[in-house]
Amino acid sequence: MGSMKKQKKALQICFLILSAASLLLFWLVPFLGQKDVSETENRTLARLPALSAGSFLSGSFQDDLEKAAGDQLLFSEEVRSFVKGAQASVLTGGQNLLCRFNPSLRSGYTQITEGYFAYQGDEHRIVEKLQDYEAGASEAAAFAASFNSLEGVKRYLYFINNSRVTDFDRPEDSNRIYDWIRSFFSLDGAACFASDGYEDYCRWFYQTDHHWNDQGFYRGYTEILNLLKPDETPVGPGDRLETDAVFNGSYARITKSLRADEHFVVRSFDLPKYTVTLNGKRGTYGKLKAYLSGRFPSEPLTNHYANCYGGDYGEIVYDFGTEGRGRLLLIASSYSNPINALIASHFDETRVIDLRYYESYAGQAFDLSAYVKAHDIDTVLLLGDIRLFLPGGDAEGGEA
Amino acid sequence: MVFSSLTFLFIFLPLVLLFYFLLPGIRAKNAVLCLFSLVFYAWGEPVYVLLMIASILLNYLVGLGMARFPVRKKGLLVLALIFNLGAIGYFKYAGFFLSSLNSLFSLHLPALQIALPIGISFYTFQILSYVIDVYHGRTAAQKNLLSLATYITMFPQLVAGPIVRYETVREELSARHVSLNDFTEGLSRFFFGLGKKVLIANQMALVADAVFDAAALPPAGALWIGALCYAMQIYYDFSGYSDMAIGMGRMFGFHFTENFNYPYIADSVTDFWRRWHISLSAWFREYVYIPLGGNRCGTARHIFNMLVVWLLTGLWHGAAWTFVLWGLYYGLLLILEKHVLGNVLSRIPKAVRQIVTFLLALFGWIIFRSESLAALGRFLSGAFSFGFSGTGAFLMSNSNALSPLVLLPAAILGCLPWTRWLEKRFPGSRALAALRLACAFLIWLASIAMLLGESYNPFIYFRF
Repeated sequence: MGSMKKQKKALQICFLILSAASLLLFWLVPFLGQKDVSETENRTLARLPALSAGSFLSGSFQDDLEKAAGDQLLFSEEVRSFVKGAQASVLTGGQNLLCRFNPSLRSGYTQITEGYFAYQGDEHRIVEKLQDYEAGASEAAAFAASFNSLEGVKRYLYFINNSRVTDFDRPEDSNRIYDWIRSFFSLDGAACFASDGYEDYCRWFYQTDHHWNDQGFYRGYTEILNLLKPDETPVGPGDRLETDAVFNGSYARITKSLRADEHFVVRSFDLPKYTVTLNGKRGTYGKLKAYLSGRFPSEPLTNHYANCYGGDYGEIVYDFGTEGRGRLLLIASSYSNPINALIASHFDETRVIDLRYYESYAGQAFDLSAYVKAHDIDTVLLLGDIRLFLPGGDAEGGEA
Repeated sequence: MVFSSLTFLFIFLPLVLLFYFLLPGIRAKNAVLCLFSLVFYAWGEPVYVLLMIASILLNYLVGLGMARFPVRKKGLLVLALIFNLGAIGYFKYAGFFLSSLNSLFSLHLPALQIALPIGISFYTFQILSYVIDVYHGRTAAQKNLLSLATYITMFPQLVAGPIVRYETVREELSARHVSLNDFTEGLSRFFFGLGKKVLIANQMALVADAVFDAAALPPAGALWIGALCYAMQIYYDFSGYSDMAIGMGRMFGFHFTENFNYPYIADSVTDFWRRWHISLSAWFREYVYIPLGGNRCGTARHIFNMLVVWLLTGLWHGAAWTFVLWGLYYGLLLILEKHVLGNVLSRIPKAVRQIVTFLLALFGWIIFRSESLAALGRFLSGAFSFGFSGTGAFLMSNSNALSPLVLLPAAILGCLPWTRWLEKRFPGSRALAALRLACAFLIWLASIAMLLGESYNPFIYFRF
């Protein structure tokens, strides 16, 4: 009887020690230091907030502490990644089971996780879905107002029709959002990167990333050049090299659905010598040369697009050291990253502004009119998808 | 703050346990519990904590007044009832009352947008149990303000029950002991409760929400799946919360009353309500039904008493006509069982009675979950059309609804008392005890993983 009691007590103590150790996981964070960025989720992590009476009464302290606890807890990234992966597997299994009973269910969009879909049972590709963007008319109008008030410059728009603005079930209606966005702007020229249905879309975009692939961005560059300088001959088409790197893009990273069997393809071009200034410092943009020589990270969730062609900066300045070819202001999202230099090669100086990061770099909000005057800009181009114009629609953890 | 938040699990709970067990003496321990409970409440309702403090002071003085001035105790009781029921009436029902008047009589009275203080329905009922028991002399007035404040504010059962009557914990407020066994049992009960909430209720909620909140009416098959998942959600959500509350109470040396006893195996509606939210049924029986005359009266009066109790039960759950209908639905079913069916039920095989009772409860949950009477009508017209085609397509297009369905069989299995059967079959088994603790720990780890991976984490009973 005595030994049974002892065994029970030992069991209980063991349980309590394990439980206490797990309950105290968070209290190690101040000693180990807080993490800033999640590489796998490609987002900034919440940090422990400072307590004040105001923040407590408004509830923001409580909300921020909960977010920080989730982000900073030991092993949280790995656990989140595992849970998302497991959920994606369960969902795929469930969908396959349903389709076994009713194969016709494969048609149309199949949700992978909230906001992300497979189309027509294509297990290799992840897409988004057309949303009700028209509700953001006031945001788009506000964005357009400062652009339309510019004087003495040529104004252009190049809009990217990706899966966010396309209903593949209704390809005939694929330019609706582009037409709607264009209606806000007063322009010297505009064009749209269009796809003719799902199969055509697949030619131009990565399987699991929202960006255009090497064929897509080269096509985009030629169309942009035709818009800005129709008399000039495009650079390229350059050399294509399929690397060994498997590319799990933003959609795969967000949904934790590593379904890509796509190898990352790089495309290089012969350009005249130029200098690049990144957020005010001279440097090199991207790691294209390393990719061409077979040196790239092998982690399955590597963002090869940003790693190879260059990441997002508040301001990038390209100087080709020429005169008389004009000065371009390119307001763009990450879609421009692989073609910044290509476009810039047709101008003396090109300034690329990413509105999402400009303020944190410059310490002040972007003032379009003042910027154009200060840098003697003669051409302004807006280049991006719907999120350039309606940034409020960015989903948490999403990438624009 | 909710028990299933990371802030509670990794910051609040370790801190309160640390201070509670570091400080010696019952007064210090009560002070720790009271202080942390106020922080717990203020976390979500920084301003309404003042309402709670006012309520503690008033009811403390009322209790003392009743003891000191017995001739004035009726007046003091009325004062306490006006304050406590007035507060709940204003915060919970004033908006509903005005909007109902507007729609019934085409008036244009201004709509009230008042935030509901969290858990007001629970702590008001606890306070009422104290003042009414003192009034009837069933318990002595609490002279120690800290003890009464600890009882009213105690965070484990403050916001979602169980409704612990003062009499239940009166002695433990002044003297209690926590053994290793108490603490282990309490912690493992807490982990099981957390698992019920995070691993099952939250998942079932995704299916139920996808069905009940769908813009277009889903096919009948999906509607019934949604209703079934909601029945699972509300059971695991609420009983999980009760398990966590009871478990934490045990960790602090309190023994709260049980709140659930496998309600989905009930073999009659009467039996169902003996097993579901037991503390609420007991409260209404003690403080409303019996004072009205209970069943020791004529048939008409008994039916009246039951209808009043069930109307109030419905309204307690929410200020909406669907809750009124839900309460009356149960009132009528119970009247039918007691006055019409009588002994007929006992002649039906138990398994059939259990299935019929579950279906009646399921129908009740459809009323309960519907946002309005119009939405209820729409749901029922769809559900009873029995048009099952399109169910697969609905699930395919709603990943939120498809993947959690994997857990539905586990959820149904968990509604059956097989653990109780195992304990009876192998009494005192060490292997079973070890397995139980191992399961509790694994469920805790899985719950944390799920909490980190998910953001969907509401508690249904916070609305009440």
